[in-house]
Amino acid sequence: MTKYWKEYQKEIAGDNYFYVRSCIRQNFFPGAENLFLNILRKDLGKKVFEDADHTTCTGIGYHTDIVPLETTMTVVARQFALMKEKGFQNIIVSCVTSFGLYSEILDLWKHQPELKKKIAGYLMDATGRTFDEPANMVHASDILYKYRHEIAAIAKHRLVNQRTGQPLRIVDHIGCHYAKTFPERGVGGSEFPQVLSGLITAWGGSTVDYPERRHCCGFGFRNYLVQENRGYSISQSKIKLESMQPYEPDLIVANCPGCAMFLDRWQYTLEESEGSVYGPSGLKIPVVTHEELAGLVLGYDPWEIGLQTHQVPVEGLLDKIGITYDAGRKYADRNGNLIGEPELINQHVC
Amino acid sequence: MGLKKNFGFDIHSGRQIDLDRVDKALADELSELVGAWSACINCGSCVATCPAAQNGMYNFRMLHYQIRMRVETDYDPSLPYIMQRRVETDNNLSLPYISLEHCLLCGKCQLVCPRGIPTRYLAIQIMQKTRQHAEGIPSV
Amino acid sequence: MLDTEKYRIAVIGAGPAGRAAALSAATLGVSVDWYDKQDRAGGKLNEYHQLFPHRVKPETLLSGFRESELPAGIKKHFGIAVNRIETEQAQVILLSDNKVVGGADAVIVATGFDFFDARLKEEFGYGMYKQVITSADLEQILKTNPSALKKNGADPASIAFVHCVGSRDQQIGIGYCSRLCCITGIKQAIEVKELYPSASVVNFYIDIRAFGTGYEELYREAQEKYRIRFIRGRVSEASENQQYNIVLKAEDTLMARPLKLTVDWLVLLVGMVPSCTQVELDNKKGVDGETGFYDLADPLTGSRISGQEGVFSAGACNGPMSIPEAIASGRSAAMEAFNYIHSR
Repeated sequence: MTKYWKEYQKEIAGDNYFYVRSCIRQNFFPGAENLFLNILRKDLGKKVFEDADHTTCTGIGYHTDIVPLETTMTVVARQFALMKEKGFQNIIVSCVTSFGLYSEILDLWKHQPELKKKIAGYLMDATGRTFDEPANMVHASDILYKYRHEIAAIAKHRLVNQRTGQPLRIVDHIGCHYAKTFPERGVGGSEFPQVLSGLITAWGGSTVDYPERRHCCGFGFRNYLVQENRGYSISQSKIKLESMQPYEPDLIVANCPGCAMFLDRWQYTLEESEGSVYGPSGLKIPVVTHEELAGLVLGYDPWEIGLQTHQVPVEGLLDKIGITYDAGRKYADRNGNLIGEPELINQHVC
Repeated sequence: MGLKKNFGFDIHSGRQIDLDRVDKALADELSELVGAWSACINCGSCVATCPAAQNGMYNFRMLHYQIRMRVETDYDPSLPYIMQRRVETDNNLSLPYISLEHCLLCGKCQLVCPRGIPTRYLAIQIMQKTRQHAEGIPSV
Repeated sequence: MLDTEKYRIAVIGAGPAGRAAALSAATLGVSVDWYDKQDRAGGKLNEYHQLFPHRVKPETLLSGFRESELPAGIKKHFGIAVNRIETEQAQVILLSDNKVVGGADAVIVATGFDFFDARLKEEFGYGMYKQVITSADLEQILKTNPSALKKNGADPASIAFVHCVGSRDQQIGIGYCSRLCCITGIKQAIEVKELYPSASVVNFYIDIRAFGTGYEELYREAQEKYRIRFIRGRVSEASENQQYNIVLKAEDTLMARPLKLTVDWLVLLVGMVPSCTQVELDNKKGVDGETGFYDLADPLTGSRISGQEGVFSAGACNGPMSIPEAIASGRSAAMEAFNYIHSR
């Protein structure tokens, strides 16, 4: 029986999740993770537990050679230990780089059981804890993919341009660490993962297949962290933006927080340093994360979920979808007091 | 738009050869003159025996391969082929503008070429075709 | 005088190898039962446009397959797909879907090959993008409708061939070289260039394996006469642009730089894999665990399948091979089968 990667589905647990956060996501998209938890708990009725004692996976440190691999593995083992102590077996990872790191570690332990034993020893010495590998380890976007039809059924909005009646043209960008290293870890394999295109299609949008769709956005910690090197990273985002431009996308959605940050932030940088803008009609393309996309279709208030922190303003997109928002509350705090507007933000709004 | 900002890094265009943008002129002319040139299989016999290659970065195979593949780099359509901006690559070969002045015209490459390409004649033709445009290329 | 009329040899497959086996066996005076899953002889010869290296039309070979040319002693059983063989008391039983369809003293399996399913190399977009086709598809187009290569009524501007699709590739578990794809790519590049002389034709290869008689000469002709460009570098991905053309990424390894090229058509040179209607053998012995082709007991000198008695194989079901090789293999197997029966 021939099996094609296109049809590949991986196992995604249905409930009782242990959630681990992402450094980048909670810093650059501060509303996103709370939104994800709310969607799971309130809209889908799932049990998700977040342990206050959990930490970064140290992926950034590992990828920049600051944290040795064995240290990183011990930290990840500790996350698993906390999960075990709280009685969970299914882990949801918020960051795609973390997800890639966990995949890599589990694979290493599978092929080198003596290494796993060594790490268990380190963890015991350092914390007195023991761990079990998760029965199911998935990325947060996988959960939304699994429940995309359930979300569609209760959605208040569709990914359709209300003015024209046409589905929105949406670029889906999958983080490299989702499936490029271990194709079996990604829904649809590594060349054409469907975790985001599945959401887009289920929620009424249309996907854009442009030549550089599979290209990396450039967010390699090693390249990006040092300012003088950053040009390498930005060049990759530029390659993607140039390639998608003729398709006039309305929106980019990314499941990796780094990719979302890059594609959002560098449209500003490229405009300031080169004068180029890549969206339709000389405007920029809004970028959202998977949970933000779900939040929008479910009817969450855009400012409550943190979309004001995005570099590329989203108002144009909200207008297209027909989502109402209070423009006056965009830069207001919880009590309605204005906290000040960023400079230059409203150039070339979509 | 206003002043272009510098954020402390250069945004590169990368090393990818864009085969969609080709400059066929020089390669087509040379192909007409040296028909067997198209039969080159890049075996490297020419460079292996070349005395000039032993001494420095001069690589005749790479030079004529780049011309044969009609590759341009950072092509400026207002300038003729040989006058295009010199480009440094990772292995420090400035292709395709390595000056043929390194060539001793000894003919050893022609003796060994398994495809029977008249490589010495090819070198001379490259020099002649580019002579009036470039600086410092010896005329023959 | 040998009572060879009483010898019965079954031949499964009516392609070049099977035909050679059947005819040779009949010449030796034995009675031959000749099977093929299709209603006509010729196998894949019926699908080809021109045969390398001299580009003869397959019709020249197929003309010899007509009924009137067959010697006495051959009984045709076409339209029957033999998919299992059992041996019982020195007799070979032939089964098709668990029904007995024949028996013989010895059998020659010549079931040929299938083309690699290019959808398994998803990075090339076969089955997704209309402008990506296989060499088998192209052969059909060249044979029946060459103007199908036009785009919106205009001649195609550029065509690229990718060598080694489904061969020499650990990613899809096929490690062997399929031997004939390089020369097929060279031949088809020339055919396309002849049809559309203004088109740019580029072949992306890892090595050019032009080992056969006349192959290297055809390669040279492709380079010098037809100005087909050969770039040493494997295409890593193909995607589609707004004009529905194919955008490729590869590396020009000789220049040690990545490259990008947009083409109207991308042709994937697919390798040969064991046929899906390969005959299942008694006790399952005789199939190579790695490749899936038949395993010969003595590959240097014989045609008998390893672990089997009275079962011989010929042609591409043993591994990728060309038509002359398959024909020689078929004749050889017939001789061996005959000697096997005779010496019992």
